[in-house]
Amino acid sequence: MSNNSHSMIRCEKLNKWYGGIHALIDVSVDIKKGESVGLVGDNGAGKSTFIKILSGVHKQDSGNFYFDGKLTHIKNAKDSMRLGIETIYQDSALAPTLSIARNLFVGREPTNYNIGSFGLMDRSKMATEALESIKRVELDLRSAEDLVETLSGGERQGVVIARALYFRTKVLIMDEPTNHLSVKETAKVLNWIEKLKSEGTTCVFITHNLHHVYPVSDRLIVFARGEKIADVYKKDTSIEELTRMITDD
Amino acid sequence: MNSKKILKSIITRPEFAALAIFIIIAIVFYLINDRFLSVRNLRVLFTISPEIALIAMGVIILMVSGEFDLSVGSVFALSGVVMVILTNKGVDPWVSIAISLIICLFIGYVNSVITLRFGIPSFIATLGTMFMVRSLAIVVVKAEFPVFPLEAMEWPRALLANPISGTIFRMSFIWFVLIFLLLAFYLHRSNYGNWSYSTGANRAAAAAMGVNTNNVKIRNFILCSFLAGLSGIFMVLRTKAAFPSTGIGYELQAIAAAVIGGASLFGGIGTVFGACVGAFLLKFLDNGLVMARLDVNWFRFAVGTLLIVAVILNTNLRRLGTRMKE
Repeated sequence: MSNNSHSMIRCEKLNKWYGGIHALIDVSVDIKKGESVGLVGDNGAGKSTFIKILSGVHKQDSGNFYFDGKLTHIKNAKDSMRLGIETIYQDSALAPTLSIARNLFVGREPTNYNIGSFGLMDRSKMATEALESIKRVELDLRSAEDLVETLSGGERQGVVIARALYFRTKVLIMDEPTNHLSVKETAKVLNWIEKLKSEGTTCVFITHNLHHVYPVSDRLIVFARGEKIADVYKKDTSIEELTRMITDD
Repeated sequence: MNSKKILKSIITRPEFAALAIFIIIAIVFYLINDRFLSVRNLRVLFTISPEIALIAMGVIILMVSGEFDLSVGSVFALSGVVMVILTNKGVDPWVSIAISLIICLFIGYVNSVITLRFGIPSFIATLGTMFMVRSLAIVVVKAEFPVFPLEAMEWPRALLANPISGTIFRMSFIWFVLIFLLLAFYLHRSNYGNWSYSTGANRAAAAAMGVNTNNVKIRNFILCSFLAGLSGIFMVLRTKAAFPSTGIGYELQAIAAAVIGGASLFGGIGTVFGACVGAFLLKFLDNGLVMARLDVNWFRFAVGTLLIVAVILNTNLRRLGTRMKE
Protein backbone atom coordinates (compact mmCIF):
# COMPACT_ATOMS: atom_id res chain seq x y z
CA MET A 1 0.00 0.00 0.00
CA SER A 2 1.37 3.38 -0.89
CA ASN A 3 1.28 6.17 1.62
CA ASN A 4 -1.51 7.90 -0.27
CA SER A 5 -4.01 5.17 0.38
CA HIS A 6 -3.12 4.78 4.05
CA SER A 7 -6.34 4.70 6.08
CA MET A 8 -6.60 7.33 8.81
CA ILE A 9 -10.18 6.74 9.87
CA ARG A 10 -12.00 3.57 8.99
CA CYS A 11 -15.43 2.66 10.30
CA GLU A 12 -17.25 -0.58 9.76
CA LYS A 13 -21.02 -0.68 10.05
CA LEU A 14 -21.43 1.90 12.79
CA ASN A 15 -24.84 1.95 14.41
CA LYS A 16 -26.16 4.37 16.96
CA TRP A 17 -29.56 4.51 18.63
CA TYR A 18 -30.97 7.36 20.67
CA GLY A 19 -33.82 5.71 22.49
CA GLY A 20 -36.09 4.51 19.69
CA ILE A 21 -34.38 6.54 17.00
CA HIS A 22 -31.91 4.80 14.75
CA ALA A 23 -29.59 7.78 14.24
CA LEU A 24 -26.81 6.01 12.41
CA ILE A 25 -27.44 2.96 10.26
CA ASP A 26 -24.60 0.68 9.16
CA VAL A 27 -22.28 3.50 8.24
CA SER A 28 -18.95 2.43 6.81
CA VAL A 29 -16.40 5.05 5.86
CA ASP A 30 -12.75 4.93 4.92
CA ILE A 31 -10.91 8.24 5.04
CA LYS A 32 -7.31 8.31 3.86
CA LYS A 33 -4.45 10.21 5.37
CA GLY A 34 -4.22 13.78 4.08
CA GLU A 35 -7.63 13.76 2.46
CA SER A 36 -10.14 16.51 2.94
CA VAL A 37 -13.64 15.19 3.13
CA GLY A 38 -16.91 17.08 3.24
CA LEU A 39 -19.71 15.43 5.19
CA VAL A 40 -22.95 16.79 3.84
CA GLY A 41 -26.49 16.24 4.98
CA ASP A 42 -29.56 17.93 6.35
CA ASN A 43 -30.20 18.34 10.06
CA GLY A 44 -30.84 14.92 11.53
CA ALA A 45 -29.13 13.13 8.65
CA GLY A 46 -26.62 11.49 10.97
CA LYS A 47 -23.51 13.49 10.20
CA SER A 48 -23.31 15.07 13.66
CA THR A 49 -23.86 11.71 15.31
CA PHE A 50 -21.03 10.31 13.23
CA ILE A 51 -18.74 13.19 14.23
CA LYS A 52 -19.69 12.85 17.89
CA ILE A 53 -18.55 9.25 17.81
CA LEU A 54 -15.22 10.28 16.28
CA SER A 55 -14.72 13.01 18.85
CA GLY A 56 -15.64 10.81 21.79
CA VAL A 57 -18.81 12.61 22.82
CA HIS A 58 -20.93 9.51 22.10
CA LYS A 59 -20.12 5.85 21.73
CA GLN A 60 -21.43 3.69 18.92
CA ASP A 61 -23.83 0.86 19.82
CA SER A 62 -22.25 -1.47 17.29
CA GLY A 63 -19.56 -1.43 14.66
CA ASN A 64 -15.81 -1.02 14.71
CA PHE A 65 -13.65 2.03 14.51
CA TYR A 66 -10.07 1.88 13.26
CA PHE A 67 -7.72 4.79 13.74
CA ASP A 68 -4.51 4.79 11.74
CA GLY A 69 -5.14 1.14 10.93
CA LYS A 70 -5.65 0.01 14.51
CA LEU A 71 -8.93 -1.04 16.14
CA THR A 72 -9.62 1.77 18.62
CA HIS A 73 -12.17 2.41 21.33
CA ILE A 74 -12.74 6.08 22.03
CA LYS A 75 -14.25 6.46 25.47
CA ASN A 76 -14.30 10.24 25.85
CA ALA A 77 -13.26 13.53 24.30
CA LYS A 78 -9.86 13.35 25.93
CA ASP A 79 -9.14 9.98 24.27
CA SER A 80 -10.01 11.47 20.94
CA MET A 81 -7.73 14.47 21.55
CA ARG A 82 -4.91 12.15 22.55
CA LEU A 83 -5.22 10.25 19.30
CA GLY A 84 -4.79 13.55 17.48
CA ILE A 85 -8.41 14.18 16.52
CA GLU A 86 -9.45 17.79 17.03
CA THR A 87 -13.09 18.77 16.65
CA ILE A 88 -13.92 22.40 16.12
CA TYR A 89 -17.46 23.66 16.18
CA GLN A 90 -18.29 26.92 14.58
CA ASP A 91 -19.04 28.83 17.76
CA SER A 92 -16.74 26.91 20.00
CA ALA A 93 -13.36 27.21 18.40
CA LEU A 94 -11.83 30.01 20.43
CA ALA A 95 -12.35 32.03 23.59
CA PRO A 96 -12.95 35.61 22.35
CA THR A 97 -11.70 37.45 25.44
CA LEU A 98 -8.35 35.68 25.45
CA SER A 99 -5.25 36.46 23.43
CA ILE A 100 -4.27 34.43 20.38
CA ALA A 101 -1.34 32.93 22.29
CA ARG A 102 -3.52 31.84 25.18
CA ASN A 103 -6.10 30.38 22.82
CA LEU A 104 -3.51 28.50 20.87
CA PHE A 105 -2.32 26.68 23.95
CA VAL A 106 -5.54 26.22 25.95
CA GLY A 107 -5.43 22.81 27.58
CA ARG A 108 -1.89 22.19 26.29
CA GLU A 109 0.11 25.01 27.84
CA PRO A 110 3.87 24.55 28.04
CA THR A 111 4.55 24.74 31.79
CA ASN A 112 7.35 24.85 34.33
CA TYR A 113 7.41 23.98 38.02
CA ASN A 114 4.73 21.34 37.61
CA ILE A 115 2.88 19.85 40.55
CA GLY A 116 0.53 17.22 39.18
CA SER A 117 -1.37 18.83 36.32
CA PHE A 118 -0.72 22.30 37.74
CA GLY A 119 2.14 24.36 36.38
CA LEU A 120 3.26 27.87 35.61
CA MET A 121 2.91 28.75 31.95
CA ASP A 122 6.07 29.34 29.96
CA ARG A 123 4.75 32.62 28.61
CA SER A 124 7.73 33.62 26.54
CA LYS A 125 7.62 30.28 24.75
CA MET A 126 3.87 30.69 24.25
CA ALA A 127 4.32 34.17 22.79
CA THR A 128 7.13 33.31 20.40
CA GLU A 129 5.67 30.02 19.21
CA ALA A 130 2.21 31.51 18.80
CA LEU A 131 3.63 34.32 16.70
CA GLU A 132 5.57 31.81 14.61
CA SER A 133 2.45 29.69 14.13
CA ILE A 134 0.31 32.55 12.91
CA LYS A 135 3.11 33.56 10.56
CA ARG A 136 3.06 30.08 9.11
CA VAL A 137 -0.51 30.61 7.98
CA GLU A 138 0.51 34.04 6.67
CA LEU A 139 -1.85 35.84 8.99
CA ASP A 140 -1.01 39.50 8.94
CA LEU A 141 -1.20 40.06 12.68
CA ARG A 142 1.15 42.22 14.66
CA SER A 143 1.27 40.18 17.79
CA ALA A 144 0.00 37.01 19.35
CA GLU A 145 -1.15 39.10 22.31
CA ASP A 146 -4.13 40.53 20.40
CA LEU A 147 -7.47 39.34 21.69
CA VAL A 148 -9.35 36.90 19.48
CA GLU A 149 -12.47 39.11 19.66
CA THR A 150 -10.61 41.72 17.58
CA LEU A 151 -10.07 39.27 14.70
CA SER A 152 -12.26 38.76 11.64
CA GLY A 153 -14.00 35.44 11.00
CA GLY A 154 -11.36 34.43 8.51
CA GLU A 155 -8.52 35.33 10.84
CA ARG A 156 -10.12 33.22 13.55
CA GLN A 157 -10.20 30.22 11.22
CA GLY A 158 -6.53 30.97 10.56
CA VAL A 159 -5.79 30.74 14.28
CA VAL A 160 -7.65 27.42 14.51
CA ILE A 161 -5.65 26.06 11.59
CA ALA A 162 -2.40 27.44 13.00
CA ARG A 163 -3.17 25.54 16.18
CA ALA A 164 -3.80 22.31 14.26
CA LEU A 165 -0.52 22.80 12.39
CA TYR A 166 1.40 23.52 15.56
CA PHE A 167 0.16 20.48 17.43
CA ARG A 168 0.45 18.28 14.31
CA THR A 169 -3.19 17.34 14.58
CA LYS A 170 -3.80 14.14 12.62
CA VAL A 171 -7.49 14.69 11.99
CA LEU A 172 -9.12 18.11 12.07
CA ILE A 173 -12.90 18.08 12.09
CA MET A 174 -14.44 21.47 11.35
CA ASP A 175 -18.03 22.57 11.42
CA GLU A 176 -18.90 24.93 8.54
CA PRO A 177 -15.32 26.12 7.92
CA THR A 178 -16.20 28.84 5.41
CA ASN A 179 -19.62 29.89 6.60
CA HIS A 180 -20.01 33.67 7.03
CA LEU A 181 -16.69 34.29 5.30
CA SER A 182 -16.12 36.67 2.42
CA VAL A 183 -14.98 35.28 -0.94
CA LYS A 184 -11.48 36.55 -0.26
CA GLU A 185 -11.36 34.96 3.17
CA THR A 186 -12.74 31.70 1.81
CA ALA A 187 -9.86 31.61 -0.65
CA LYS A 188 -7.46 32.05 2.25
CA VAL A 189 -9.04 29.21 4.20
CA LEU A 190 -8.69 27.10 1.08
CA ASN A 191 -4.98 27.84 1.04
CA TRP A 192 -4.58 26.94 4.70
CA ILE A 193 -6.37 23.66 4.20
CA GLU A 194 -3.97 22.84 1.34
CA LYS A 195 -1.16 23.53 3.79
CA LEU A 196 -2.68 21.23 6.41
CA LYS A 197 -3.05 18.49 3.80
CA SER A 198 0.52 18.90 2.66
CA GLU A 199 1.60 18.29 6.25
CA GLY A 200 -0.44 15.12 6.31
CA THR A 201 -3.42 16.35 8.31
CA THR A 202 -6.73 14.76 7.41
CA CYS A 203 -9.55 17.28 7.29
CA VAL A 204 -13.23 16.52 7.76
CA PHE A 205 -15.81 19.25 7.26
CA ILE A 206 -19.42 19.01 8.29
CA THR A 207 -22.10 21.15 6.78
CA HIS A 208 -25.72 21.23 5.70
CA ASN A 209 -24.80 23.48 2.80
CA LEU A 210 -22.86 21.77 0.07
CA HIS A 211 -21.62 25.08 -1.31
CA HIS A 212 -19.74 25.76 1.90
CA VAL A 213 -17.47 22.75 1.64
CA TYR A 214 -17.41 22.00 -2.07
CA PRO A 215 -14.39 24.21 -2.75
CA VAL A 216 -12.28 22.79 0.07
CA SER A 217 -13.09 19.07 -0.21
CA ASP A 218 -11.43 16.35 -2.31
CA ARG A 219 -14.26 14.04 -1.58
CA LEU A 220 -17.86 14.34 -0.47
CA ILE A 221 -19.88 12.00 1.65
CA VAL A 222 -23.63 12.54 1.79
CA PHE A 223 -25.77 11.46 4.71
CA ALA A 224 -29.55 11.15 4.81
CA ARG A 225 -31.77 9.69 7.51
CA GLY A 226 -28.86 8.07 9.29
CA GLU A 227 -27.42 6.40 6.23
CA LYS A 228 -24.54 7.15 3.95
CA ILE A 229 -26.14 7.67 0.55
CA ALA A 230 -23.17 8.85 -1.47
CA ASP A 231 -19.39 8.82 -1.22
CA VAL A 232 -17.73 10.37 -4.27
CA TYR A 233 -14.55 12.12 -5.27
CA LYS A 234 -15.07 15.65 -6.46
CA LYS A 235 -13.33 14.92 -9.71
CA ASP A 236 -15.94 12.25 -10.50
CA THR A 237 -18.96 14.40 -9.83
CA SER A 238 -20.36 17.90 -10.06
CA ILE A 239 -22.07 20.22 -7.65
CA GLU A 240 -25.30 19.81 -9.64
CA GLU A 241 -25.25 16.06 -9.38
CA LEU A 242 -24.60 16.20 -5.63
CA THR A 243 -27.33 18.76 -5.07
CA ARG A 244 -29.75 16.49 -6.89
CA MET A 245 -28.64 13.60 -4.68
CA ILE A 246 -29.30 15.54 -1.49
CA THR A 247 -32.59 17.09 -2.53
CA ASP A 248 -34.00 13.97 -4.23
CA ASP A 249 -33.75 12.03 -1.07
CA MET B 1 3.26 54.14 16.99
CA ASN B 2 4.65 52.35 19.96
CA SER B 3 3.23 54.82 22.46
CA LYS B 4 -0.20 54.24 20.96
CA LYS B 5 0.25 50.53 21.43
CA ILE B 6 1.16 51.07 25.06
CA LEU B 7 -1.85 53.36 25.52
CA LYS B 8 -4.07 50.71 23.98
CA SER B 9 -2.78 47.98 26.23
CA ILE B 10 -3.29 50.23 29.26
CA ILE B 11 -6.84 51.34 28.58
CA THR B 12 -8.02 47.88 27.62
CA ARG B 13 -6.83 46.44 30.92
CA PRO B 14 -10.00 45.51 32.81
CA GLU B 15 -8.95 47.28 36.02
CA PHE B 16 -7.91 50.54 34.36
CA ALA B 17 -11.17 52.44 35.00
CA ALA B 18 -11.27 51.39 38.64
CA LEU B 19 -7.69 52.42 39.22
CA ALA B 20 -8.30 55.82 37.63
CA ILE B 21 -11.41 56.40 39.74
CA PHE B 22 -9.54 55.22 42.82
CA ILE B 23 -6.82 57.80 42.36
CA ILE B 24 -9.31 60.59 41.66
CA ILE B 25 -11.39 59.71 44.71
CA ALA B 26 -8.33 59.54 46.97
CA ILE B 27 -7.25 63.00 45.78
CA VAL B 28 -10.73 64.50 46.14
CA PHE B 29 -11.17 63.16 49.67
CA TYR B 30 -7.71 64.36 50.56
CA LEU B 31 -8.54 67.85 49.30
CA ILE B 32 -11.75 67.88 51.32
CA ASN B 33 -10.06 66.65 54.47
CA ASP B 34 -6.31 66.21 54.57
CA ARG B 35 -6.63 63.73 57.41
CA PHE B 36 -8.00 61.26 54.85
CA LEU B 37 -4.44 60.28 54.01
CA SER B 38 -3.12 60.70 57.57
CA VAL B 39 -1.23 57.82 59.13
CA ARG B 40 -4.08 57.16 61.53
CA ASN B 41 -6.69 56.97 58.78
CA LEU B 42 -4.51 54.92 56.46
CA ARG B 43 -4.09 52.48 59.32
CA VAL B 44 -7.87 52.11 59.43
CA LEU B 45 -8.09 51.75 55.65
CA PHE B 46 -5.38 49.12 55.47
CA THR B 47 -7.12 47.18 58.22
CA ILE B 48 -10.60 46.97 56.77
CA SER B 49 -9.88 46.93 53.05
CA PRO B 50 -7.94 43.63 52.85
CA GLU B 51 -10.81 41.77 54.49
CA ILE B 52 -13.24 42.63 51.70
CA ALA B 53 -10.44 42.32 49.12
CA LEU B 54 -9.82 38.69 50.14
CA ILE B 55 -13.47 37.89 49.47
CA ALA B 56 -13.50 39.88 46.24
CA MET B 57 -10.45 38.03 44.88
CA GLY B 58 -12.20 34.69 45.35
CA VAL B 59 -15.35 36.08 43.79
CA ILE B 60 -13.53 37.45 40.77
CA ILE B 61 -11.66 34.19 40.09
CA LEU B 62 -14.96 32.35 40.20
CA MET B 63 -16.56 34.97 37.95
CA VAL B 64 -13.70 34.63 35.47
CA SER B 65 -14.58 30.96 35.17
CA GLY B 66 -18.21 31.89 34.59
CA GLU B 67 -19.93 31.39 37.96
CA PHE B 68 -21.19 33.43 40.93
CA ASP B 69 -21.08 32.98 44.66
CA LEU B 70 -23.63 34.81 46.78
CA SER B 71 -22.91 32.73 49.88
CA VAL B 72 -19.58 34.41 50.71
CA GLY B 73 -21.07 36.78 53.30
CA SER B 74 -22.63 33.88 55.19
CA VAL B 75 -19.47 31.78 54.94
CA PHE B 76 -17.56 34.80 56.26
CA ALA B 77 -19.78 34.80 59.37
CA LEU B 78 -19.86 31.04 59.87
CA SER B 79 -16.10 30.49 59.84
CA GLY B 80 -15.44 33.00 62.63
CA VAL B 81 -18.29 31.72 64.74
CA VAL B 82 -17.19 28.09 64.38
CA MET B 83 -13.60 28.99 65.25
CA VAL B 84 -14.66 30.77 68.44
CA ILE B 85 -17.11 28.09 69.55
CA LEU B 86 -14.64 25.26 69.06
CA THR B 87 -11.91 27.12 70.88
CA ASN B 88 -14.31 27.81 73.75
CA LYS B 89 -14.98 24.08 73.90
CA GLY B 90 -11.29 23.51 74.58
CA VAL B 91 -10.12 22.69 71.05
CA ASP B 92 -6.67 24.02 70.18
CA PRO B 93 -7.20 27.40 68.48
CA TRP B 94 -5.16 26.39 65.41
CA VAL B 95 -7.17 23.20 65.07
CA SER B 96 -10.36 25.28 65.38
CA ILE B 97 -9.17 27.54 62.60
CA ALA B 98 -8.32 24.52 60.45
CA ILE B 99 -11.72 22.92 61.07
CA SER B 100 -13.64 26.07 60.23
CA LEU B 101 -11.65 26.48 57.03
CA ILE B 102 -12.32 22.86 56.09
CA ILE B 103 -16.03 23.55 56.59
CA CYS B 104 -15.67 26.49 54.19
CA LEU B 105 -13.97 24.27 51.61
CA PHE B 106 -16.85 21.86 51.96
CA ILE B 107 -19.44 24.63 51.47
CA GLY B 108 -17.63 25.67 48.29
CA TYR B 109 -17.75 22.07 47.12
CA VAL B 110 -21.46 21.86 47.88
CA ASN B 111 -22.04 25.07 45.91
CA SER B 112 -20.27 23.54 42.93
CA VAL B 113 -22.13 20.24 43.15
CA ILE B 114 -25.53 21.94 43.32
CA THR B 115 -24.64 24.17 40.38
CA LEU B 116 -22.95 21.63 38.13
CA ARG B 117 -24.64 18.35 38.94
CA PHE B 118 -28.13 19.78 38.72
CA GLY B 119 -27.29 22.27 36.01
CA ILE B 120 -28.86 25.28 37.71
CA PRO B 121 -27.47 28.83 37.67
CA SER B 122 -24.90 29.38 40.42
CA PHE B 123 -26.67 32.64 41.17
CA ILE B 124 -29.63 30.61 42.44
CA ALA B 125 -27.62 27.75 43.95
CA THR B 126 -25.54 30.10 46.08
CA LEU B 127 -28.52 32.31 46.91
CA GLY B 128 -29.91 29.15 48.48
CA THR B 129 -26.74 28.31 50.37
CA MET B 130 -26.43 31.96 51.40
CA PHE B 131 -29.63 31.57 53.45
CA MET B 132 -28.72 28.09 54.64
CA VAL B 133 -25.23 28.97 55.84
CA ARG B 134 -26.43 32.17 57.50
CA SER B 135 -28.99 30.11 59.35
CA LEU B 136 -26.29 27.64 60.41
CA ALA B 137 -24.16 30.46 61.79
CA ILE B 138 -27.06 31.58 63.96
CA VAL B 139 -28.05 28.05 64.99
CA VAL B 140 -24.58 27.00 66.13
CA VAL B 141 -24.33 29.90 68.57
CA LYS B 142 -27.89 29.20 69.75
CA ALA B 143 -28.66 32.86 69.30
CA GLU B 144 -26.17 33.83 71.98
CA PHE B 145 -23.01 35.70 71.27
CA PRO B 146 -20.08 33.49 72.13
CA VAL B 147 -17.42 34.99 74.37
CA PHE B 148 -14.18 35.53 72.53
CA PRO B 149 -11.49 33.27 74.04
CA LEU B 150 -8.92 36.01 74.38
CA GLU B 151 -6.28 33.97 76.15
CA ALA B 152 -6.37 30.95 73.84
CA MET B 153 -6.31 33.21 70.82
CA GLU B 154 -3.16 35.03 71.83
CA TRP B 155 -0.94 33.31 69.27
CA PRO B 156 -3.38 33.30 66.39
CA ARG B 157 -3.96 36.98 67.01
CA ALA B 158 -0.24 37.70 67.14
CA LEU B 159 0.41 35.90 63.86
CA LEU B 160 -2.72 36.80 61.95
CA ALA B 161 -4.27 39.97 63.22
CA ASN B 162 -2.28 42.24 65.53
CA PRO B 163 -0.83 45.56 64.41
CA ILE B 164 2.82 45.42 63.44
CA SER B 165 4.53 47.96 65.66
CA GLY B 166 6.14 50.86 63.89
CA THR B 167 4.01 50.42 60.76
CA ILE B 168 0.49 51.27 59.67
CA PHE B 169 -0.15 47.61 58.86
CA ARG B 170 -1.56 44.66 60.70
CA MET B 171 -0.39 41.07 60.29
CA SER B 172 -3.49 40.42 58.22
CA PHE B 173 -2.16 42.84 55.62
CA ILE B 174 1.00 40.77 55.22
CA TRP B 175 -1.10 37.65 54.72
CA PHE B 176 -3.30 39.52 52.30
CA VAL B 177 -0.27 40.50 50.20
CA LEU B 178 1.04 36.92 50.21
CA ILE B 179 -2.35 35.53 49.22
CA PHE B 180 -2.71 38.21 46.55
CA LEU B 181 0.60 37.11 45.01
CA LEU B 182 -0.35 33.44 45.12
CA LEU B 183 -3.73 34.10 43.55
CA ALA B 184 -2.23 36.35 40.90
CA PHE B 185 0.15 33.53 39.97
CA TYR B 186 -2.73 31.09 39.97
CA LEU B 187 -5.01 33.15 37.74
CA HIS B 188 -2.53 34.91 35.47
CA ARG B 189 0.51 32.68 35.23
CA SER B 190 -0.63 29.11 35.70
CA ASN B 191 -2.31 26.77 33.26
CA TYR B 192 -5.20 26.43 35.73
CA GLY B 193 -5.72 30.17 35.34
CA ASN B 194 -5.78 29.88 31.56
CA TRP B 195 -8.35 27.09 31.87
CA SER B 196 -10.43 29.34 34.16
CA TYR B 197 -10.44 32.14 31.59
CA SER B 198 -11.22 29.86 28.67
CA THR B 199 -13.93 28.03 30.60
CA GLY B 200 -15.61 31.33 31.43
CA ALA B 201 -15.14 32.88 28.00
CA ASN B 202 -16.25 29.90 25.94
CA ARG B 203 -16.93 26.71 27.81
CA ALA B 204 -17.44 24.61 24.69
CA ALA B 205 -14.13 25.76 23.22
CA ALA B 206 -12.27 24.93 26.43
CA ALA B 207 -13.93 21.52 26.59
CA ALA B 208 -13.08 20.85 22.93
CA MET B 209 -9.43 21.45 23.80
CA GLY B 210 -9.58 18.83 26.53
CA VAL B 211 -10.05 21.14 29.51
CA ASN B 212 -12.20 19.55 32.21
CA THR B 213 -14.41 22.60 32.70
CA ASN B 214 -16.31 21.05 35.60
CA ASN B 215 -13.10 20.58 37.57
CA VAL B 216 -12.07 24.16 36.81
CA LYS B 217 -15.33 25.45 38.25
CA ILE B 218 -15.31 23.13 41.27
CA ARG B 219 -11.80 24.30 42.12
CA ASN B 220 -12.78 27.95 41.91
CA PHE B 221 -15.98 27.51 43.93
CA ILE B 222 -13.90 25.91 46.69
CA LEU B 223 -11.25 28.61 46.49
CA CYS B 224 -13.89 31.35 46.70
CA SER B 225 -15.50 29.85 49.80
CA PHE B 226 -12.13 29.29 51.43
CA LEU B 227 -11.10 32.92 50.97
CA ALA B 228 -14.41 34.16 52.38
CA GLY B 229 -13.92 31.95 55.43
CA LEU B 230 -10.33 33.07 55.86
CA SER B 231 -11.44 36.69 55.72
CA GLY B 232 -14.00 35.96 58.42
CA ILE B 233 -11.27 34.54 60.64
CA PHE B 234 -9.08 37.60 60.16
CA MET B 235 -12.02 39.83 61.05
CA VAL B 236 -12.98 37.93 64.20
CA LEU B 237 -9.38 37.80 65.41
CA ARG B 238 -9.09 41.54 64.86
CA THR B 239 -12.39 42.60 66.45
CA LYS B 240 -12.32 39.91 69.17
CA ALA B 241 -15.97 39.23 68.56
CA ALA B 242 -17.86 36.65 66.50
CA PHE B 243 -21.35 37.68 65.53
CA PRO B 244 -23.42 35.36 63.36
CA SER B 245 -24.86 38.44 61.71
CA THR B 246 -21.61 39.86 60.40
CA GLY B 247 -21.00 40.03 56.70
CA ILE B 248 -24.62 40.52 55.67
CA GLY B 249 -24.38 42.33 52.37
CA TYR B 250 -20.73 41.41 51.90
CA GLU B 251 -21.61 39.15 48.99
CA LEU B 252 -22.98 42.12 47.09
CA GLN B 253 -20.06 44.34 48.09
CA ALA B 254 -17.63 41.66 46.94
CA ILE B 255 -19.42 41.27 43.61
CA ALA B 256 -19.59 45.06 43.29
CA ALA B 257 -15.85 45.25 43.99
CA ALA B 258 -15.17 42.57 41.39
CA VAL B 259 -17.33 44.26 38.77
CA ILE B 260 -15.94 47.73 39.49
CA GLY B 261 -12.50 46.14 39.22
CA GLY B 262 -13.29 44.99 35.70
CA ALA B 263 -14.89 41.53 35.95
CA SER B 264 -17.42 40.59 33.31
CA LEU B 265 -20.70 39.04 34.41
CA PHE B 266 -20.38 36.74 31.40
CA GLY B 267 -17.04 35.29 32.48
CA GLY B 268 -13.61 35.31 30.89
CA ILE B 269 -12.62 38.82 31.99
CA GLY B 270 -11.19 40.05 35.29
CA THR B 271 -7.97 40.21 37.26
CA VAL B 272 -7.02 39.58 40.87
CA PHE B 273 -5.54 43.06 41.04
CA GLY B 274 -8.82 44.49 39.73
CA ALA B 275 -10.74 42.84 42.57
CA CYS B 276 -8.36 44.44 45.09
CA VAL B 277 -8.68 47.86 43.50
CA GLY B 278 -12.47 47.50 43.56
CA ALA B 279 -12.47 46.44 47.21
CA PHE B 280 -10.10 49.19 48.35
CA LEU B 281 -12.14 51.69 46.35
CA LEU B 282 -15.33 50.70 48.18
CA LYS B 283 -13.71 50.99 51.59
CA PHE B 284 -11.98 54.27 50.73
CA LEU B 285 -15.33 55.62 49.60
CA ASP B 286 -17.03 54.50 52.78
CA ASN B 287 -14.32 56.00 54.95
CA GLY B 288 -13.94 59.12 52.80
CA LEU B 289 -17.60 60.00 53.17
CA VAL B 290 -17.20 59.88 56.94
CA MET B 291 -14.05 61.97 56.83
CA ALA B 292 -15.77 64.49 54.56
CA ARG B 293 -18.48 64.73 57.24
CA LEU B 294 -21.14 63.67 54.77
CA ASP B 295 -24.16 61.70 55.85
CA VAL B 296 -22.94 58.08 55.83
CA ASN B 297 -26.32 56.97 54.60
CA TRP B 298 -25.19 58.14 51.21
CA PHE B 299 -22.63 55.31 51.09
CA ARG B 300 -24.90 52.94 49.22
CA PHE B 301 -25.85 55.69 46.82
CA ALA B 302 -22.19 56.32 46.13
CA VAL B 303 -21.49 52.61 45.66
CA GLY B 304 -24.34 52.31 43.21
CA THR B 305 -23.18 55.32 41.22
CA LEU B 306 -19.63 54.07 41.25
CA LEU B 307 -20.70 50.64 40.04
CA ILE B 308 -22.60 52.01 37.09
CA VAL B 309 -19.94 54.56 36.13
CA ALA B 310 -17.14 51.99 36.38
CA VAL B 311 -18.94 49.44 34.24
CA ILE B 312 -19.84 52.03 31.59
CA LEU B 313 -16.21 53.11 31.53
CA ASN B 314 -14.94 49.53 31.40
CA THR B 315 -17.20 48.60 28.53
CA ASN B 316 -16.46 51.67 26.47
CA LEU B 317 -12.72 51.68 27.06
CA ARG B 318 -12.61 48.09 25.96
CA ARG B 319 -14.58 48.89 22.83
CA LEU B 320 -12.37 51.88 22.13
CA GLY B 321 -9.24 49.83 22.67
CA THR B 322 -10.27 46.99 20.38
CA ARG B 323 -11.07 49.49 17.63
CA MET B 324 -7.73 51.27 18.03
CA LYS B 325 -5.19 50.40 15.35
CA GLU B 326 -1.61 51.19 16.02
